[in-house]
Amino acid sequence: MIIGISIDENNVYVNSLGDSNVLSFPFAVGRNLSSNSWFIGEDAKNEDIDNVDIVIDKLFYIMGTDGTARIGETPYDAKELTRVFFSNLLSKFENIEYVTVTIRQSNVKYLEKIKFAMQQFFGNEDKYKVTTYSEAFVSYIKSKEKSYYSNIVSLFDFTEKALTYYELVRYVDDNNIEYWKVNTEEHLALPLDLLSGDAGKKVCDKILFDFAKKCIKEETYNHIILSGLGFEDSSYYREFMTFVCSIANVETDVYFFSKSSALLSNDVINDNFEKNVMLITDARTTASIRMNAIVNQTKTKIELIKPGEEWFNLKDNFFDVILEDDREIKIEILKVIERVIKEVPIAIPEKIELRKDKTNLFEMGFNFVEQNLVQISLADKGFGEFYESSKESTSKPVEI
Amino acid sequence: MVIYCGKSNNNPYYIKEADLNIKSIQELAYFIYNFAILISNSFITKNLILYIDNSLKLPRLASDINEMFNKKANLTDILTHILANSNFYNDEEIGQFRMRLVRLLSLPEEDYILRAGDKLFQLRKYEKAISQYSKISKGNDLALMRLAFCYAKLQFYENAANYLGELYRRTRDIDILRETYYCLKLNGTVDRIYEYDMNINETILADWEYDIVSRIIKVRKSDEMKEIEDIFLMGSSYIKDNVQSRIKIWKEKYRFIG
Repeated sequence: MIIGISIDENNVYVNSLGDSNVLSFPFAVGRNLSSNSWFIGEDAKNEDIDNVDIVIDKLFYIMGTDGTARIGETPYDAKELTRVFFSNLLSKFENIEYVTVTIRQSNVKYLEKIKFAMQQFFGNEDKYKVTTYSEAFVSYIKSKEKSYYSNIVSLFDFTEKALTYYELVRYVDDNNIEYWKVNTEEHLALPLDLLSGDAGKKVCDKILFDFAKKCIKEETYNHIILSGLGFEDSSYYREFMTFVCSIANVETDVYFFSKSSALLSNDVINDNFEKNVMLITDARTTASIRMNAIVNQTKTKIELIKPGEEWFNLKDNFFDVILEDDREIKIEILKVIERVIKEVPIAIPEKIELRKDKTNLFEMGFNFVEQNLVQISLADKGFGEFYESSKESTSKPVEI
Repeated sequence: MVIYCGKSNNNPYYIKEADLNIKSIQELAYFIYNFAILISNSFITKNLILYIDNSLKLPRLASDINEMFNKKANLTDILTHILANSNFYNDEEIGQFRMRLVRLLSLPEEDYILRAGDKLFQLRKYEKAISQYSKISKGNDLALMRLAFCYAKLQFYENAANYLGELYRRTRDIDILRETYYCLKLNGTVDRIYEYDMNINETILADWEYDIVSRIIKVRKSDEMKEIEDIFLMGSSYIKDNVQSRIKIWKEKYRFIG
């Protein structure tokens, strides 16, 4: 079974590849204190089930704030509650071949907790992927014929907590590298309660129309996709619909992201990725991090972090370097889209004595805190058993 | 400018000649370059070649060395080839290394052993250094002095005092006698100083005592002392962790001696 799961602030949507149905339920956990049983989704929130004593329905909020929830006498942290949720959810399915979980936010607070939950359930990384909606959007487009995306394909996602615009732009740069870049634009959230009255519907239509006019450029668009529960009732957004229909073919799929997440699962299983395409989304690094260094007596530019890598999945970003003379290491950041180079000097802490016989070994580390914020660290490693480490280190946040 | 070494390797290779572990091609090159005097023909082994191949991920260099090894190539040539492919030394430095090797091989035997002992001392391998110096200690003042230093480093102050005392008898150098006195002081057998010089002046001994007290006052104010005091202020779990790591180091040394 190949599964796609998308999560928004309130709900979870689950789709099995090829199935037109989507399971949808609240992102919540509940617990019966006497039997110590856990419940999730509707089962947790259903008041008719009298054996659920405590319901935690602000799970997404708790994840984002690293919060805790007290159940009986025991406080549970966000990581544990997320683990419980996914453990219960995934155990409902048999023969899972691969699962992709996507969220809108490109934020480690959510991504790390979901990754932890998946790792705890599967025990290995070969069975799951946790990423953002942008990546699922790309998989959906890739699943189509090339004519579908010969020009721009865009998407409006309208949910309880967000109104977001996505567009996939493709281009080839001067170095003949093909880029697929997902641009996003966020509007202030519109509560879906607004759609319960005629006045509210009109306001929503007007806001959607204005937002679309702001986002849609004077370019050629192939398709515009409408996703999210905000587009479920198609009767109210006439002005918006007239406008987008004048731009491109319009298709509506309220559960778009769970289905496209399942397509992404399928892409991973079949290694269905264009090797010569540089994908730039909110889940990817947008810069090349480089350094001039000596390799075999020759001055060489070493690429330490490549652009287009999933920044929150980067591992082993540690490299050993030996300092020759200077008291600083210069890092070069090349922004691939803007083609701008930024030089970042990392100074060696004053307490570290610089030896003259090339025996100052340092470990350089790159830890992405956000897509465009990397913490660069430099730790003195001494030099084997010849020189002990001073245990001194330094780190510097660098905006990409 | 920096030398890029890539990802670190955690598998060590044990160099028996120096009782140390290396973990990178740069450390291996550094050892060859600076401690060549400790290297004998048995340094290049199949295990070293396998280590270079599998752990250091340098199959080409491993294959080259293997070929040279099988053809019984000159040790200097093999060592030079390793340096040239170590991503650490440049051609000029390698040229200097070859010249240094020639000079080393032309040293008289006693000087050669003394130098080997000095290199082991530099690596803090005092037991191994002792075995070198002992080979030439009869009649060699420098070897006697270094043997005393090795024992002092190992905190075997009685042995250190014995060697210094022997040296004093040969040289009658008052500075040597003062060092002997310090070792005896640390060993708690200060009265033995008269075994080496029955006529030692009491004023000199008082000066040395004063010097020892001054040193104690100075080290009590040192940064290291402050660090130790800080460890005790950090609480019981921190003390435990730090004591454990120190005990581990002590045990390794203790077991090695045993």
